[in-house]
Amino acid sequence: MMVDTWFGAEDARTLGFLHVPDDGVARGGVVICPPLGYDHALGYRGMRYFAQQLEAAGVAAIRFDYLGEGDASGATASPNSQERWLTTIENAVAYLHESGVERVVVLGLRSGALLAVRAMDRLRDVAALVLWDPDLSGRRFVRRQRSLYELTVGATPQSADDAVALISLTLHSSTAAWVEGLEVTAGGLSSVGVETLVLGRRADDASAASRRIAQSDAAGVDYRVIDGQEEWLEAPGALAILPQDSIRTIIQWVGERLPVAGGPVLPAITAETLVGTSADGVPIVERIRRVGPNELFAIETVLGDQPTEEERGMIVLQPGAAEHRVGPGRFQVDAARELAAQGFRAIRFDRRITGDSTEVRPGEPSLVFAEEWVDDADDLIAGLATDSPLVLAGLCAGGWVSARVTERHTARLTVLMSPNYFKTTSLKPGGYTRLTETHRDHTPLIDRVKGALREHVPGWLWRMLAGLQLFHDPAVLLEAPSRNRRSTVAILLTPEDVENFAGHRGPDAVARLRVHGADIRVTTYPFGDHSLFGEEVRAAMRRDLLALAESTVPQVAGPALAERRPA
Amino acid sequence: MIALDDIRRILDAHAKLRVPAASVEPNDDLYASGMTSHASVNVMLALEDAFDVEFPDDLLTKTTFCTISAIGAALDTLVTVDA
Repeated sequence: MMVDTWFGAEDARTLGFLHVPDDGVARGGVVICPPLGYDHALGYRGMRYFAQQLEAAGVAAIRFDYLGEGDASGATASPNSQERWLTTIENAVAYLHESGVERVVVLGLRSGALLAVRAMDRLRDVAALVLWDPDLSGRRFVRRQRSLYELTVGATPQSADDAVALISLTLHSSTAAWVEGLEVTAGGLSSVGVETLVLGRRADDASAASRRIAQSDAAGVDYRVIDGQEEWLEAPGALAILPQDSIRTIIQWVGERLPVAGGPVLPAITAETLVGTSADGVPIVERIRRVGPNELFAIETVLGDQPTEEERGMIVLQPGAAEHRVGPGRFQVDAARELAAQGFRAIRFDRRITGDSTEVRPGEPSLVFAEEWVDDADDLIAGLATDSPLVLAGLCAGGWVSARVTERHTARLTVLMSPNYFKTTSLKPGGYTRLTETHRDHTPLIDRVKGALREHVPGWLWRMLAGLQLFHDPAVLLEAPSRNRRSTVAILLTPEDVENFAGHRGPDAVARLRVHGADIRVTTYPFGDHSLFGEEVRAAMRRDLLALAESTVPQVAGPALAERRPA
Repeated sequence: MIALDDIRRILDAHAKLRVPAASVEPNDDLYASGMTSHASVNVMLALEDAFDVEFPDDLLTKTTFCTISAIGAALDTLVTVDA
């Protein structure tokens, strides 16, 4: 079973997921230190699957976000991020101990291994250490993530002078320098003082750093080569393959270092926490929720004591692809807290087979652009909506779901960030994976033909073919959210989305709908990437989302914020 | 001048191409042959280790890594400068 909870100091909570064997008894527990940045998003479901397998082996596990990242409280890119990351690991170890778990193993994945090793000298009663596909050099980690940023995001406006932009992660320059100074070495591991398993990927086996650890005779260090990491952590999300062999290896190694008999796990569960205050000093709180028949994981962000009848509106935020609330999905976390300060109740949630909603099953089909996700959004709205205005906002596939669910619920405002799929017919489960595979290998003949025709088909024929869903015509997707005369639809486009939108006659579609009275607003950005890996475009879209909500949803008469401020 | 076969050896280890690098022509698009952004960064880091160079930010573009010829040309400038 999995327990959702906030943990850590009352004024600096992080979100955690505690996995407990079904009989409530554990032989020990594993603290899973995730990688930083986009690697965390890519590895998220795999880490959850690993934790599920530990559960099945009678071992507890805790997964978490570092303070300042994911759903944890605190701002990212802080000059003391490194201290907060290490504090989070300390808190996770303490949480397991306080829940009754005696033997605790610390595991770090990728850059999480750098942090786990660094944290060891401040941790008490750790039984063993596992470094899973570790980044052995902090400098190399920063260089890899920085290079990915340059290759993926490209030229953007200058970040703040003291910021270092990595892919979907911004570090303060002092934190980046600290990370660059981290290393995992044979000497360092031998001084850790506990048995250590190092699982290095085969492609790195020849590197000097790996060889030094593999060939060292450091006591207690067991170095093994594993396969399948690239297929898990470097593949497009829809094509990722869980590293089952590595998971089995770790669980066996950990199991051999834990007692056969276990003890009861009795965790303290905290479902609500303070995450900040509004400009007027009113507390902003977040509540963990489970909603609908699929028990979708959701977080509700509100002003501390705001009665439901006084909420300005409910806004549902959704990430792109099969992502969740870390990596680019962090935009939802920041937006939710700022929207709450404006009087909104903000909801972020995991659709099925993403994040922390449904259990991970190997080979589960991708539901990107599938009707199941529209049903999920429908369930969420049915479960949480009040009479206040509804606002929907989503990135790419999340925007598509937002637009589609307006066929069932009227929204005051619908915001589509980086939309690129404009049909209203959904894909079958797994359809997006097949689409990704097909386009990875080649552009199918039918798509080449349609690409050639797209510019030459006369308007009347285009509209007819688009009505049959043979072409992506934005007018088809935008019709439902803009149908109500009091509704506004906003489309936020990065340069590559502008090109795609224009290629599918988006400007013409908007003009046609406006003739019929639709309020559709298009914002374009001269920089940024479709997936919002870049901090600058993420921040720009968030600012525009807040401004749109502010301008389209009226304030509710009620006690002034100042009157809600705690005495 | 950098030997293209040295680059091909690194591509085989890190680029995750759908075909052996030996069958890839110098001007074939490596991304079209299955190399992802992640894989291109792995290639870059392996090239840096092998040739003891560091790609500057202005060379961190898809164009630099899109063909064997382009990689070779970039490496030639770096090796020359570093020499």
